Amino acid sequence: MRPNLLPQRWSRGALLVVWLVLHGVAPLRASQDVEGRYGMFAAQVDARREPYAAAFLPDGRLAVLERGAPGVVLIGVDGSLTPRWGVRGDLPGQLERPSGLTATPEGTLLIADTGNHRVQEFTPDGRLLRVVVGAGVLRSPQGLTLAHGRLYVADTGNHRLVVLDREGAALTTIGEGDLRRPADVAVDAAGRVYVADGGHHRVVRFGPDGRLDSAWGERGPFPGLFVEPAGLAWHGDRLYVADRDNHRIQVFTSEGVRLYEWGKHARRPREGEGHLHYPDGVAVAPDGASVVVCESFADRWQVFRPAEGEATLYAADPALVSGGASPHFGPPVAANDELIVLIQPETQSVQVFRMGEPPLMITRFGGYGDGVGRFLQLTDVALHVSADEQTHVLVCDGDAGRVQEFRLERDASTAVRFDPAMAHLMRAVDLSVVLAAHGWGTAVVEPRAIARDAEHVYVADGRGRRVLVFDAGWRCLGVTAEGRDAVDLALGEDGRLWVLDGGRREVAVFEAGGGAEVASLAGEVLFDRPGGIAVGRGGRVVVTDTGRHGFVTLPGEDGVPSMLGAPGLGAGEFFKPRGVAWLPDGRLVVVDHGNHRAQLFEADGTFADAFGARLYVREARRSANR
Amino acid sequence: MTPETCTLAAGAGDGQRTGVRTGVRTWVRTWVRAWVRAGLLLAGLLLVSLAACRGGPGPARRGATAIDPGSATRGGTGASEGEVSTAFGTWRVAWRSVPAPVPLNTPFAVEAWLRPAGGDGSWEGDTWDGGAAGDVQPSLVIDAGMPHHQHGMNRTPELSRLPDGGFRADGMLFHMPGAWTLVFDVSRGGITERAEVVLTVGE
Repeated sequence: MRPNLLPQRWSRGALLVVWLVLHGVAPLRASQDVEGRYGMFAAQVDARREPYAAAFLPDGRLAVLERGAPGVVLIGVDGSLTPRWGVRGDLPGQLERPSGLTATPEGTLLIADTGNHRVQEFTPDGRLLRVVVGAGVLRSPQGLTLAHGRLYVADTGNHRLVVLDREGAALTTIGEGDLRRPADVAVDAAGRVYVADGGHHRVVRFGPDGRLDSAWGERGPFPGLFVEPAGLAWHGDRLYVADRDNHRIQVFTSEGVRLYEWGKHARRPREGEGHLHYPDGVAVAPDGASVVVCESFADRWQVFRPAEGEATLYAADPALVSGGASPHFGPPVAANDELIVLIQPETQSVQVFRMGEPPLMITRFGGYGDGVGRFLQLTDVALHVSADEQTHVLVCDGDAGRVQEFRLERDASTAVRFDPAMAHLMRAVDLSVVLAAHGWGTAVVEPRAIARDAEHVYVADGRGRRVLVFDAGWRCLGVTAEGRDAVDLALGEDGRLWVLDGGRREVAVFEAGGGAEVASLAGEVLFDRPGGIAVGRGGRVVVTDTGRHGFVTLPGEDGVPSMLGAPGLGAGEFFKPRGVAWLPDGRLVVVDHGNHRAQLFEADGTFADAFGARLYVREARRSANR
Repeated sequence: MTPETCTLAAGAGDGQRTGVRTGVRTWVRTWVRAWVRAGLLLAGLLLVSLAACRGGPGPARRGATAIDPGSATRGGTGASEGEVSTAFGTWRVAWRSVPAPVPLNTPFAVEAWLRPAGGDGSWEGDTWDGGAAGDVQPSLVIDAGMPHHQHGMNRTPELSRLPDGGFRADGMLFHMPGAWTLVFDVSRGGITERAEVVLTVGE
């Protein structure tokens, strides 16, 4: 059933280059007369399945952890490749979206099994040794490191670090109240602990006693600032930070003094060879000969060697990062008969397009910030037409834990034009406070998806793994879909709620108003990594599949599921599609997230048009014309 | 020129000396009365201005022009005081600028008073309806920006409470001419509702 959309391509030539670089074989081994700076591109390995973290084993082999097809790839000291091992699932020894990897002095591998909320220890060839710590302690752990006889785990979902002994017994926690979505952790020789504090866009340093003693950086593109720092490595006396959304690696002293950076933003689709695109993980070879950078978004990893020449040759251009490059669309999308609403993650703003050929942007609002009217982490949008026929946009903010509602004030009789003042904030709802005020407990809510009809507002709580049901005045009516890892929501014409469960790769259907589950479609044979769901007229259901770069149309009464899409730039081709919405005229809009565009399809699935970044739209139109 | 002064100027001899003493007394009395009158006048003016600045519960109570509730969250162009509803009609906000009208590129203050839209009309803030949010008092944040230019003020106002339960934002500054939007964010029980007033300054 599953189409082979991503063949396991592995360039032997690239592997040889990688091996040469990793092991410092001349001529790739650079002299150390360049003040120890890295940044010169040496090699890359493409067509992987979301490589997210890397670690060097004591015997010199390199282990790379992949999330897309959960498992580990080893490159031996002789350049040999060990086929990826790992089985997706939740049984002991299986993995689900693993996001952290470290090697022990004994030569075993500790893996943060993020989707299963645990840490497991494996031999390098994939034999499970033990479950070190389980779901009762951790929630969506990511980075981890072993130092001074202790295991430090970025307990991302609980916004803290957990420190365990070598046997896995929890010793203490660090950073509770100071961290937001910590992504990785590193420890220096003095026992100081560095944390990539992703949600706060900074690096935090804790003393050996666990007390916060330093923090640096804030959100921004300029040197020393960060956007979603994701990976850390401590080597020698330097801290290497994978500054993910700034597409670069920044290097600091232990005191937070920035030394240099490398990583140019890509200018062409999939451009690598030294150009970085959302680097997640960074690992420095023990002998310092090379640095490996994992880029899960680009499905590749690259190797860098010590730099030669001026540091500016390798540094990122802040202007390019902050707006000069094509921004992405999505992940979410909402649409009605006149408007398409998307988000721009780089700026944390909401963009509204008026339907047309092509759709034209008529306003943009929001921007990064914790104040009312701004956003920390946009996760979903919904459109709603009020009783007085005003168009409202509801916006989910995961980090802020709130939903904000805006009114679009526009004159449909005037010519289409961009109006920066069109959106007016009406209401901001702090979900945790609202729940507490109504006696629904004090749990922190992290809204991930939203759906709205005339009577109800449904909010998927990613932290609580449930869907909250509110009335139009934000009084909580109840909870449904408990235990579901809802990544998107959709409403059918009959008012039933469709929940896309990313963890189980299922679609579950609930009665209107948050009633009982009435049906579920086991999707693991249908979806690799579901991204978004839309329910159209006549119960037509479409689910985007980020892992397979396409979308699945679920069967009608007598139909069969059909998959449309393939990886690529052409019409009907995608790169990690996410949000999807039906238009009232029967067309479909799909957020082609990795291709910086949205694509429109006719009801029969034929390509209609695309809009977004010019370079990517042009490719789609060219291929359609061919 | 007073009549006493005219007499003084006309006197001579003893009669003139007596006349001089009498004239001096009269002159002193006159000046004392004048100073007392001036002092009373100044004190009166001071009391009036104090009452205007601190004592009043807002322009609506003083009979100022209220904004039509039907205009939802939008105030009037060029207004320096008024009354406005929040977006879903939960709250009414009475406000005024100090000084009035709002100056261009000069710091000013905004004072505001809240009441629930369905309450008993009290502005003092002690009659909240309770409900699901219990007795939690609402809070108010006052800010401003230029949406068409996509920027706010270049300084952060300092918020404080007035003795009568109202709110005051000092340090507001409209640093350039054009259409500014004054916003009032009223929060209680986790829900913040916004009221907006559009002010055109310097044009």
